[in-house]
Amino acid sequence: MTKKPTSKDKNPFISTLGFPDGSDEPGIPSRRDQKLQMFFDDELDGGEKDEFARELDRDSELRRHLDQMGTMRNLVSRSLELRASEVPRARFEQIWDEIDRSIEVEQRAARAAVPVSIWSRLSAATRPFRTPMLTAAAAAALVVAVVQFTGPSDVNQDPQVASVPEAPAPSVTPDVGPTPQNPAIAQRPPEPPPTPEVFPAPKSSAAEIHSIEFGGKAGRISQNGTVTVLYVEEGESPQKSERSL
Amino acid sequence: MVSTDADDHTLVESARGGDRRAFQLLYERYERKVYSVAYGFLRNPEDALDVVQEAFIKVYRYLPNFEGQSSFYTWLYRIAANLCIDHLRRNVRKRDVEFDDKLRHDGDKDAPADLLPASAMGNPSDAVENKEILAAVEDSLQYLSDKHRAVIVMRELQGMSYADMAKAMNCSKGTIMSRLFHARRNMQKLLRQRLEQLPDPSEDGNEALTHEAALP
Amino acid sequence: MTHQRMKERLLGSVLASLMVPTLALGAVALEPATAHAEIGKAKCQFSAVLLLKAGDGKIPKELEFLRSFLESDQFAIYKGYRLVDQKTLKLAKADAVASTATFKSGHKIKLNLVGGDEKKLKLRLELSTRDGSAALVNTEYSIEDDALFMFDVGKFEDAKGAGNLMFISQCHRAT
Repeated sequence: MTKKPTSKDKNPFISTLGFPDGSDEPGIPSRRDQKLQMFFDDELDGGEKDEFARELDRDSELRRHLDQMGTMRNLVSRSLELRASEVPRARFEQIWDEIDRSIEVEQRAARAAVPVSIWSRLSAATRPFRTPMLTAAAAAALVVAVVQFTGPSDVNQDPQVASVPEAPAPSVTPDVGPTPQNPAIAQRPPEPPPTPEVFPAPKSSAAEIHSIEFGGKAGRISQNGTVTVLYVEEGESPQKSERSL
Repeated sequence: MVSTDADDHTLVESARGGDRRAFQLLYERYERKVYSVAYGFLRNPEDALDVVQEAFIKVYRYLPNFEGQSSFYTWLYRIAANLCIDHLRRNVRKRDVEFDDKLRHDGDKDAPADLLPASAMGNPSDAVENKEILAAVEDSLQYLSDKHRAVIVMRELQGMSYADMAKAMNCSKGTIMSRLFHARRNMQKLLRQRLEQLPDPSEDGNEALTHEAALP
Repeated sequence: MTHQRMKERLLGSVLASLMVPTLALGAVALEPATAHAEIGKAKCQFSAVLLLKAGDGKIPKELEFLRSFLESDQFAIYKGYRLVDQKTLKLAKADAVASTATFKSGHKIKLNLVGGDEKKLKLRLELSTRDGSAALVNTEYSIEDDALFMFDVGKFEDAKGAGNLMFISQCHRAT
């Protein structure tokens, strides 16, 4: 395979500094620019670094360019830090809750995957046979009992005893308080306390939201398929955060 | 119980031992720094918060494997940068203008004598607190391509080495160096265009603009 | 057969032939309306539950009905639970004014029954701040009978402790 002549052959510094030709960036930086960048980014080795530092001392234009690169770096950092400072503390707390929850869920899953004891395994293995075996045992016991009771033995067969009467169930009477003095006046028993509303067991089903408007500082919707949760943030929290350091 | 002043190494060791509070302290120490990196890459607040969340979950998961060869902070940033790059790859956006054609073909003859207009910048130490200048910087970042913005954020904000950046972007060190050079040049040109519209901070009162520059 | 009798028989057949399809049509017309009858009344229970990160994980008796939710992954970070307050609202679609409930935390809920069908209730809810000065959220939604809808209002602290306050609603149609 013949080698195509490249600009590497013309500019020896390209191979030294590693700037490829034909990269996705047209326009090869000058040697001076390359070294300036590497010096600024602390990528020059000892000897080269010292040599360039001496060149900087001699060249005020080069020093000015270096200062400008420093200014640009500070501006980029500062502008992004400013953006980050605008995110409310509470939002980061919500993110922490999500991180904490994910860690908890992963740990639960890891605990659930712990190997089971031999007794648990035995129990699991015999589960399909347990019911038929128990049924058979119960049937056998019944047969034995029937044979015992109906066979020609000295079983008490007093025909007079048909059944043992059940003890009468205790009657539940409302507490009517003290006996009224005048039995002619019928006293209405006091109203029993109202029974709390009994709701059926709740269901897993997400809500279908048609419209929503969040007031306060912020709000978001979470729908994981089973339940819908709206997170709302009131604003200046009047209460101490339990997460404050 | 770890103290809030404990160093990263102590907190990492405690977190590895199951101390969730120690991990929470690490989170609180770096939450905004990771956010600024993610925001720099992705330019979307909610996407940036998603990356913050994913980065710390990943860090916790791989904490037992962290050998301490780099600082915790460097390791965390690398994870965040990789998540951002994955995010960008998944959500390739078509831009109307990547950047102006003139910006691509920067030769020496196009390089302005003043990379950034001194009149608009004023004192550099004041410039970093000037909201208009910072807004211009953010606007300029937005108009860089994803790859250029990635190298700017990784280098200027995270201080990543060329080798680490090459690993993160799955390319050669030489490509990173070239990309970074052009990204800085483009950033300077974009910022210069915007700063030239700002009134000179050394002058009193507002100066009326004489013309509207065509910003990309 | 006399003429009169014939006339009567003819009239009777004509009337019968008209009435039967009319009755049938009427039945058909009535049937869909009955099947898709609007919900007239509903009942909603709101439980204000304090969720704490610290605790022994035990779910108190009064919150037993929420066990499957409190033990789900969504609430994995919470280990303590307390029922702060519970209110039931009765709703009637005919009511122009919303039903309201004010909770011990100070939050107020206004709820209207907007409509619904055989599968879902349609409701409009407004949850206000603790001091009642503004709405935290205003939403219109449809939900199945007895499905839960939750509102996490963030930090809350009373004499017994601090945690995250969650309003959990459960509604179903009523007769």
